[in-house]
Amino acid sequence: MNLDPAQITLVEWGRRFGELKQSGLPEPSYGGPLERHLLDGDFRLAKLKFDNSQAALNLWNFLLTEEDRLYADRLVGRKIIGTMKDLGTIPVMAYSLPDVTAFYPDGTWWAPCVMELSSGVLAVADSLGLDESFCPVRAMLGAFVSKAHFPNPDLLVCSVGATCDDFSAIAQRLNGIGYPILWWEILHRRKPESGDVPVQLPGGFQCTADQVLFVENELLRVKKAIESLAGVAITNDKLTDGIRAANEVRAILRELRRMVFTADVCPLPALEMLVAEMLVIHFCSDRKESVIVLSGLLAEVRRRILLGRGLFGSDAVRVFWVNPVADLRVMNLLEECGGRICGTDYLFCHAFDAIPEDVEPMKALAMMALADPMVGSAGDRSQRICNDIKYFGAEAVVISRIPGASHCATEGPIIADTVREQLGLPVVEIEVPPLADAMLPALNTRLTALIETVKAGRIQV
Amino acid sequence: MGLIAYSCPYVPAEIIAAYGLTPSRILPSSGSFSGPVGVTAGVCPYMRGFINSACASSEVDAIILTTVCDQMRRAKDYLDQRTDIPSFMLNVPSTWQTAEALRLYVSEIRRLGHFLERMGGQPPEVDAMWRIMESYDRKRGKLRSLKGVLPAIEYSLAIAKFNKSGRIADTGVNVPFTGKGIPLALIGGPMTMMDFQLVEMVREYGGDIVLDGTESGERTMPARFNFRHSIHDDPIEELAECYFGYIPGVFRRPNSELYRWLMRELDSLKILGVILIRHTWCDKWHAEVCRLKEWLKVPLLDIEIDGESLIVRNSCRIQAFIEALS
Repeated sequence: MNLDPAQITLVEWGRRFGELKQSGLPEPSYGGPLERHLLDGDFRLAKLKFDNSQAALNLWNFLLTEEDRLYADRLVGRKIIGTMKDLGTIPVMAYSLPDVTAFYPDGTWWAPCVMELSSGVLAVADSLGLDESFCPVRAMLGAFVSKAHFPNPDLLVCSVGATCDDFSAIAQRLNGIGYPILWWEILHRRKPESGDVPVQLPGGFQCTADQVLFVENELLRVKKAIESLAGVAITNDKLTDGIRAANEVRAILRELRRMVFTADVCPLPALEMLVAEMLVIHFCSDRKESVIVLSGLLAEVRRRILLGRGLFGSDAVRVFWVNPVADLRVMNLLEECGGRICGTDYLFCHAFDAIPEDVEPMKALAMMALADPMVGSAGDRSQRICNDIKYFGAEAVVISRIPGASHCATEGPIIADTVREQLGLPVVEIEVPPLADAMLPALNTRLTALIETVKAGRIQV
Repeated sequence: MGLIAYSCPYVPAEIIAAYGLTPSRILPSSGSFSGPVGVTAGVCPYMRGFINSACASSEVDAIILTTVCDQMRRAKDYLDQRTDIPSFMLNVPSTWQTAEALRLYVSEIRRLGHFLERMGGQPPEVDAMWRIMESYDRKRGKLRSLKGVLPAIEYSLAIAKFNKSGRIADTGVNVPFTGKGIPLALIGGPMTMMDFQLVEMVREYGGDIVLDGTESGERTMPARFNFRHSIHDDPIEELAECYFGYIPGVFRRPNSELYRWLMRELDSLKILGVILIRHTWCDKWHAEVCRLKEWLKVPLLDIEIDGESLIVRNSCRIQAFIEALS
């Protein structure tokens, strides 16, 4: 039962779900109507517009049932690792063992948005001295204390060093109230100097062999802790298999991004693409199922492109988006303003790159960790953004500041300057709080101005 | 002789001096807006003030930054993209409980040496390096002896002056200063010169700062060097032990050593209150405020400064704090 692609509301999804059920919809174990998540307190869903495909339904249901999966894993005795900040490295190691689940407590940063501040996690963070001057990831602290969003992990690991101060400070506060944390150091990536052995990293950055070796040793400490927890060794063979499986997920996502961002007419909206991209960093706590969900999306996108169907029309302005939004509603807003997403850097684009399979697996993971755009200079990150903009053919750039985040204040102007100088594209910087309702008119104005600028430029050409 | 500016206490002045260059750990006068770091919301005023004042000085030949703070780490982007001033990023690990962290710091100091060579410095002989360390150690010993002799603000300024120029002013004071105010500790991030007025304010209202635990103060002085070395011993390793292995920092993970240091000092000096000074957007100190309040046995006053003015509200709060402790 394939309809033309469209964005529909939660209520409309209710009707569509009924029709799909009647037509014999095959459902995964986490399936069901999207509306049921509203009863769990995910009130923001009522204000979002969703893609109307079955693949998108599975994607949303998969995302919104992660908490249930984590509690179920705890019940059956799987070891649960809370991995913080590295975005894409430690989970590859953890999922190399069959009875270990890794997740990012950082992901709670969307709870205030999805639950429209009803979760109380920000209030708990406030009460512990982390007010709104910190990045919304402070919600993580509230989630730990309230014990309402995920089971208490058996092991907590956190990367520090070349990371944002907000996260480091919040994690230290968590540690200070009694949560043991295994800290591991991620170095500030630097270019090789005279006498250094250069290493080419996935994604195009360079660092030195010494840096790779240092991070590899740090990851070994994490590996030992996971092995000790699980009572099983992570052998090179297991890790190699884990890397291969992670690369399978990454390859699907890369293809999905390529097809969606380069299609003449947008085959999948921004919100679903954002959620799809998030799956890659820790597989939403189920690696095998994440392959199925992403493959479903890819098949739907292929089908739509083959049929020449899509959303927003062929004149939608192709926008590259920098940084994730704290309020998911803003991704819909861009499309309402006449834009579509053609390229993203949501802080974890290194997690799309293939992990090298031709080097020792621990070394490969160290290289991945060092390929994170956030551990190097803003100049490096800007260059990768420019390369991606050229690859995907974006016409404009939105830099979405994360309120309070230590990196946004300094890197936004650097990225904007680089894009303007190298590509001559219009750039607009916005700031998106966890609930942006009050700011929507202002955001609308800024995004519309960007879209109009691009369209005016097209007419002149 | 080339002047090398820096702000972070984990940069050993000795290594710069040993290469024949002039180390200068500068404190900006304020959070100046004039320079490569302009008016941008969310930028730490201290970082802005440091970068802009270092860039404004015609004497500065190069700038050393470190990774202890994300905004300082990212300040290098401003220097690289908006100025011609050479700069160096010293990777100071946040973790400290492993031998690898110390080894990394040692290797970073050696890498700094290569940078200093590119800046016109000459690699020192081992003996010369030890001699420079002895000289610095002697001066720091003299500086430490001024604690309790000079009033708090003058002791802090003497430390700042030594860090900037390597010189210790002859105070001419022989009689120890006996403060009659309420003994207080100052802790927090680095101070701009403007922020020292806060110390003066404390004195006016009846307080007496007996411990300067800010990043500009005595907390960040390295340990005394061990000179019972053989000619084969590597002075860089001793430097690393005494800087990286000793200075307690808020950025450390975990930062338990900062609390240990604080406990020791507060107990020995019988301090009755703590004033925490932090710059707007300094997450690392801001996040400690609540934890410190839970942990300290004495009251804590949290003062946020914006690098532009000391804010009248802060003056009232300091006055009320001291009054309440009287």
